[in-house]
Amino acid sequence: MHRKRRFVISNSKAIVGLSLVGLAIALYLALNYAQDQAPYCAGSGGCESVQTSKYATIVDGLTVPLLGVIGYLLLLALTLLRGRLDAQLEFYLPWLTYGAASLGFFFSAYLTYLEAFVLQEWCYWCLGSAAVMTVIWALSIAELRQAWFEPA
Amino acid sequence: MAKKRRTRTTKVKPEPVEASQNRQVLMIVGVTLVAVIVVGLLAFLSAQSDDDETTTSPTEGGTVVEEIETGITEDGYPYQGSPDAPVKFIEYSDYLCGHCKDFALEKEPKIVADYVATGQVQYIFHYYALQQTLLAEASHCAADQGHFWAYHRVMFENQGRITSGEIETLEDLEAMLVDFADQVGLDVPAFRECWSSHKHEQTIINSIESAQAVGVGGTPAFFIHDEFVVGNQPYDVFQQAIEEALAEGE
Repeated sequence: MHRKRRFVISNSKAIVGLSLVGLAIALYLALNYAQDQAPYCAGSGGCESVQTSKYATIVDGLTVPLLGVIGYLLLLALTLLRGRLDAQLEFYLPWLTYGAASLGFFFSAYLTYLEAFVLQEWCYWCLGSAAVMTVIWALSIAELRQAWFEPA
Repeated sequence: MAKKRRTRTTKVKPEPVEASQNRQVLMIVGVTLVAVIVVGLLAFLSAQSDDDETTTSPTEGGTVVEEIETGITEDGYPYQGSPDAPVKFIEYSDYLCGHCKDFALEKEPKIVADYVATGQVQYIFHYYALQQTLLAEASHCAADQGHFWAYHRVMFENQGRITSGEIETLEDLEAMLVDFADQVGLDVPAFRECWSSHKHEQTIINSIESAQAVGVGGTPAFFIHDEFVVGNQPYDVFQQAIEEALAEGE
């Protein structure tokens, strides 16, 4: 008979994989930003318009792509720590993952809103990252449901 | 959903389930709220940053530029600075590119002041864009009246207006370009005639093709003597390339 894989393991593995994809996108954009160069944008100027808009900088030195790099690294670290801490700390990992993913998800939603209604330009890389973050967020909720049933 | 959870939880922990579930709900609400508040703060900060990025006075850099020798090279590129200058600084740039604007407004005036005005550098502009030639054609119409560089600057200063969605038709674009011409002090009817007759279209197409031929992949890009520089780099990168080229020529 076909046996189902365990949900928890595949979830965190998926988060690791997706965080790596997100990290690659964020790094690419952060490097382009640092070099003041327009990212590749499949023939559209949208990526550059978004990148050079005032919304791309949060405070001096902290840009949106850099925030993405930090966020994906954090998600990666939180997920890779699973099974390496004592039970007490272990309990909080899915919660921290959910918190970090929620930050990423809500912020991505805000950025997508800016692209759609304020800048009216689409940055494909940003949309890719937003999609990745949305899936990570959904997975983190699924993980939380698992944690829900575990004895604290 | 809540019902499903309750039955499954009961199997694991019969007694303190209610309290535990309440705590879980509180935690979810708490973590989500914190996330929303932090994002709100980040959004506020990002919306705050440099609101002053609107148009600035078109005269400031323009007047300096007009005093330097300007003209069109034999192969049709606008230049400023003496053709006898030892270093040729060639810029590949697009009026709709944000980094090109930043370069044009922040670094170009410095390069002009430090090297072009002193006769060390001849600054040559090559237009490079994939989608349209109309803006560059307008700047060449300004060149016909001897005001390429002032027009070029106004165009970059007003890049936000060009890309804002204000322009929907060709007539809108013409009105804006004519407005720029007026700001620079051009003979408007002559400018209008030049632009609508596409007098300089072939020149711009040649410019774009020559950029592709030398392998320019994006803007801004520069040939400083024989060094190829890509992107709106920090000023010292340009400075160093110019200094090296000058040293080489000695």
